Amino acid sequence: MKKDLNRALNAFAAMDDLPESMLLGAEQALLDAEGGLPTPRKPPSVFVRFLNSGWGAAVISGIVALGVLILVLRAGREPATYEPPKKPVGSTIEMSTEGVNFTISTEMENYPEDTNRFTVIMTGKAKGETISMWGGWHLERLTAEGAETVEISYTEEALISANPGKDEYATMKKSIFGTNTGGGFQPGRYRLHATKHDGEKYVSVAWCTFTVGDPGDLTWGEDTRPSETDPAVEYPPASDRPYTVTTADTVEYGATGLGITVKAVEPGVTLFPHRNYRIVKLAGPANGEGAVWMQTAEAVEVRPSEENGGYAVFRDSVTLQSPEEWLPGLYRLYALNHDGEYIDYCDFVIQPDERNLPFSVSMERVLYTEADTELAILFEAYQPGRPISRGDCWSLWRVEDGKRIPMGSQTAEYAIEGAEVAPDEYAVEHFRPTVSLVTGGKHKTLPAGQYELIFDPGAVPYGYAVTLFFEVVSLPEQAPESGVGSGRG
Amino acid sequence: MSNTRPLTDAEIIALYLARDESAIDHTARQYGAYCLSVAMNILNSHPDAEECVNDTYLRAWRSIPPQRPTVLRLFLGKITRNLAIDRYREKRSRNRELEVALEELSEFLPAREEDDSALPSLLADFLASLPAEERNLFILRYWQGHSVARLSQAFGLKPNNLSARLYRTREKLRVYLTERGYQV
Repeated sequence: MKKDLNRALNAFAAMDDLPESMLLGAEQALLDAEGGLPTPRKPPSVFVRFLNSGWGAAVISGIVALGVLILVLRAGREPATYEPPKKPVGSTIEMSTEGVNFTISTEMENYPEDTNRFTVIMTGKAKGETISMWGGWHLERLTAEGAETVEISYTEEALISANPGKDEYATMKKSIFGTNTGGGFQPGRYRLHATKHDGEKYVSVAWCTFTVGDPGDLTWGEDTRPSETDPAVEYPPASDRPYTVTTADTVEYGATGLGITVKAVEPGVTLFPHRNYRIVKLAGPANGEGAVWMQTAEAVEVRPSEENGGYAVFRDSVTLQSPEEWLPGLYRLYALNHDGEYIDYCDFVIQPDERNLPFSVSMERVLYTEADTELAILFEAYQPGRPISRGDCWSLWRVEDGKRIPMGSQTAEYAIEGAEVAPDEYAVEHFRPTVSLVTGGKHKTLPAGQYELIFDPGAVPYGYAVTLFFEVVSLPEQAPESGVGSGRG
Repeated sequence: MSNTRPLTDAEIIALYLARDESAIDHTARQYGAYCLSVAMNILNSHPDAEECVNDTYLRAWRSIPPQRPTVLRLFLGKITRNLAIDRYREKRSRNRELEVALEELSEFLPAREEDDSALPSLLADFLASLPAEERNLFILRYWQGHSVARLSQAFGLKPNNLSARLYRTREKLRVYLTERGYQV
């Protein structure tokens, strides 16, 4: 008979359907068998028999006493200076960068909101080259004494584009957790190694360092976290802003223009905005070169007007060139002054083209209280017989005074990819993400307020992001059952 | 790991239901080695097996609730096994020991044009008709993917003897399926 290993593998997988009692019975039989067969012990060696004898014990005692005497004499002669160990403490890996086709970096430089997790970004070294095998991760904390191994509890695969086009760099993201109990990494300097197993031991193939700040340095809810896409951004305090900038919250996919309103923060003040804008992408499918976009023009004089309540208001527009490259997602527009410093920013969402949406997303339970951390989300396919394939890559934003404040993000691998659906059935998926505020490595419920939850399908080739809105109601008020809309971004 | 007392399955599952992340800690402590051995049987690669086990914890975290497994060990073992099989397919890994088991398994697969969907229930009926020891050996070899070497050592059998026993069971299965209209 022709051997068909693929079918055999399918049959092997299908054996999961055997009754549990049978499977447990077999496992128990193996446990009993292995427990009942103790490993035969070898007779002690000649050396061990010597140690166990009276003479052996006397000789060993003498050697130990001599060693102690030598140590005492040396300590008396030499100054007590510290000499760092030549090999890092606790480090068991060796370096080998041969054949490595990627570099790694992390997003956790002074990033203490979630000290239990950080994201690793692997980037291909050459365009078009696929990121290939790695064996695992090894984390060290760098101290004055050397490097101490830090336990990594588990990892999650996040955004993956490991097979790039010929003009793109492969990228891969991974979330690495320190402890499963939420204890978090201690503040300090760390070095992370990507490793592979050479058959005998793990060797380091790429590494990067990062700093975990003191959790007390930053407070949740304040917009002090550097932008994920541009860590160099330094945002001026509100009192220094001569004007605010706003734009439409949502822009249809394929739109060619973006209307912008610049308004003075005080009445009676004449403005000279420079019409310098920069747009960066915060969430959504990768946009390639179009992810960061700038417009520069001369300043214009804007006088206060009665029509605008005594404020100087200037309406401007940014033309989105090559709109087909502006994929759906969440964007941030910065207004810059003459020196290129950021004055103000606002966020906007480019809507997906619904014709391409494979499924709708809505909240089954859209309102919850401070005591709650779990949302209930429903995915429903648009067409019968079409499976839902989604990525659980989402970011949470608090909305205050029309501004979005990042509250963290979470990524996970695909949950129901390729789920089979009968030809006349609509695929439905219930999803219950835990939405919590992680500070000092501990999960806490969200404070009352307005929130947006943005799904970023990432590697899923549908090209859209989805925004859901919800509100947290302060306790002990009675939380209504519903009342805040759901939507698609 | 501050708590040293091993928890019962019910206690661990209660932690999952309460969304207490220490559930994963306890799961790893009590079933981590078991899951690793399940994955190793299929992947024969320690790094890959470790990744599989990590993914098992994540999958369990996301499955409970709504699921409430009665036997956590089996629940986790199945997840690990499925993840390992997926990884095995995805990476086109080579595990000679598993391939041997698959080749043996392919001997009783019906011809390609026939429907495989009824096989699991037929297989369950067939195994139920076997003596316990014979059934256990079959399951350990073809569900757990244990090597002949390990099983023969555990059960105090010579490898050739064990292989012959497994062969006879497969032969019985072939007859069983043929009698039920399958072309094997």
